[in-house]
Amino acid sequence: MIAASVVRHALFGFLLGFFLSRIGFSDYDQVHRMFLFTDLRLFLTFCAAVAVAGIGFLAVSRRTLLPPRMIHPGTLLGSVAFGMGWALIGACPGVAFVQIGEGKLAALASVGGIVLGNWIYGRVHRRFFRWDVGNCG
Amino acid sequence: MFWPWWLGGAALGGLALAYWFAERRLLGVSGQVTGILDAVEHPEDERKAAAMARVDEAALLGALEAATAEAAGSAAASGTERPATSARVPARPRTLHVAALARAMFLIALVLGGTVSAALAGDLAVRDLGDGARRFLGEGPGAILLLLGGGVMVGFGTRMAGGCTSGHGLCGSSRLQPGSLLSTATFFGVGIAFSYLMEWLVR
Repeated sequence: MIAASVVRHALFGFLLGFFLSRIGFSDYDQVHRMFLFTDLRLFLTFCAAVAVAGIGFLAVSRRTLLPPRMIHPGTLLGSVAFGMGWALIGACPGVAFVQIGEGKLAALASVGGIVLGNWIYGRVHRRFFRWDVGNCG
Repeated sequence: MFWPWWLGGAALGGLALAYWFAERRLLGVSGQVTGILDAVEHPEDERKAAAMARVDEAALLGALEAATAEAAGSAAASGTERPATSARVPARPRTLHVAALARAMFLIALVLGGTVSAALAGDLAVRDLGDGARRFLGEGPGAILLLLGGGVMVGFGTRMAGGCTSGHGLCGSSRLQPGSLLSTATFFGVGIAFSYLMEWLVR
């Protein structure tokens, strides 16, 4: 059923891209104002999204055990690098793709960096580390 | 011009739930990049996983149930209590394997979603990232290098942490998972601190 999975993923990707753009998560200035607390709209959006997802997952988790996400040695350091990169380029991984679609072609460099950084970590991890980083999607 | 917080929150939260119900997996963007890179680097593993996923799931489950019933039957025959069925069963991925093609389509569709959104808003045009980006990153090759370097930090960091804003931030912290709570608090906290540092540097 690969064809059906491809179609579903295309639909989910499209909706996520559309939502992120309409919300303003793909707007560099909006993200920067969120981090400076000069505009709380994106923070509130994120908190509302977590609340909606949390209520839904709570209902689901009464019958189903959802994948746990435990702390491992890469959690803190990886998130520090991600936080700095996010503040600098104004994009988390999904948003960089959305920015390209909006015509902000400089985000091609962001996506190139994200793919490169992901690949580098894969190499580094296999060479030096033993723990399981876990993965979503 | 942008959606109010409650609409955006409902859309993103609803999408995370819809993805789970459709795929029996948790939504995550950085995981898609990882999955594609893994498939490109290890094509033979990707082929094997795809072949495994093609095994008829109904037949597989039937065989498992039969084996379980047999084991439970022999236990019952020896007078042992049948173990009470667990209240919570682990989520069985509806798709055992997400093909690299599906992951790639997800990312391409992300781009298209941005295009349609910008077109509907009437601001679809080749443009730069805006005033803030010009102020902090400059223009020309220097800005491209900073975006590339920052992108490397985002890609490296999200894979190291095992998730990004969607996987940890949305799908993990909403379930109060310790790794996701630590990750989300850290990348938001560092993002805040670093943004203030950026302001201070270019003041």
